[in-house]
Amino acid sequence: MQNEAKLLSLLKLDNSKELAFKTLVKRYKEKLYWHIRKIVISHDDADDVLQNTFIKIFRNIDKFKGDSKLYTWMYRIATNESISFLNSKAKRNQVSNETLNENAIQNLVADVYFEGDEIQLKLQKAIAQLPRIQQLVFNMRYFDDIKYKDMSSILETSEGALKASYHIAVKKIKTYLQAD
Amino acid sequence: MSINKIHKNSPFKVPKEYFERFDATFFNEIELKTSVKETGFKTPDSYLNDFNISIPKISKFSNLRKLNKKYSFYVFRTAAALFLLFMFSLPSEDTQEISYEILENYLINEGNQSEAFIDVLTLEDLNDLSILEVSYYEIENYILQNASIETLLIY
Repeated sequence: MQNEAKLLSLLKLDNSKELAFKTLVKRYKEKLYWHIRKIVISHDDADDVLQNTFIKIFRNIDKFKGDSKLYTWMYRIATNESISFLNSKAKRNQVSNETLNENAIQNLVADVYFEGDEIQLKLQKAIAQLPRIQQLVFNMRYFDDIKYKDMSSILETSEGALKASYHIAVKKIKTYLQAD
Repeated sequence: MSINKIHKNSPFKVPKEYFERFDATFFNEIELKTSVKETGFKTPDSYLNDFNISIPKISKFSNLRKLNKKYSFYVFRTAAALFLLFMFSLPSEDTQEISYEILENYLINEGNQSEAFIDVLTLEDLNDLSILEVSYYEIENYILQNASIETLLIY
């Protein structure tokens, strides 16, 4: 993508870095926010992680070699930041990641920033039952239509394994929704 | 050679039971998407429009931050050692035995302890840490048990 390449070159120059970074934030904040939000569930947590993600992007942009697309690299950072955030939170609260996840879903009922109906709440509960990698794959494919090729670069997993994960996730979710 | 014959002898193959599974996976997804497509999450009013990042200025503290991530266990261990030293130096009648577990719980409950330590330490303090003798085995062991692999990969 030519725009991305141009933005990247501006990000690496001292005199244009700040302005280019503002453009980068403007361009990607929404996509990254929703990606993070689906992982950490609460808005406040998503806000923290989004801030950290952009700060990490800013600090590490010089190390980005262009081996992958800029946006997949940023998604990878956002994913890692979200997972690290959840791990730290679980450790701080002295609970398992599964319990943390369950609590987050339970809190959705009273969350002012969740306006889902019954089926949407049920879907979130179903997603929470999945192993983390299947949660990530399902969210990225089902809600965001991210291509397996890009997902493979973000999650550093083969396309075949991601397709299998997605199909298993869909099947499990459907079974969960029908059983409940 | 007829077209049918060419098709039958095609060298291309599909994974085992691909066509059988295709229907199931395809219709599962379609069915699910028909019933629910959106997450239901929302943001505070104009959150995304107003979202802004205050760009961190490059300063000597940016290097300290890197040290923090990479060598936070030095800081952690020094703080723990100083804490223990302080406790053991108190008069014996008032001393209370502190287990590693209690100490670790205390530090965990204090939240972002490594961030807090790094804020009060100067570069000089960090240089002083070089007197600590820590084996590579201990470092590796600490990282394996305490650091998140995702964070390490980014650095």
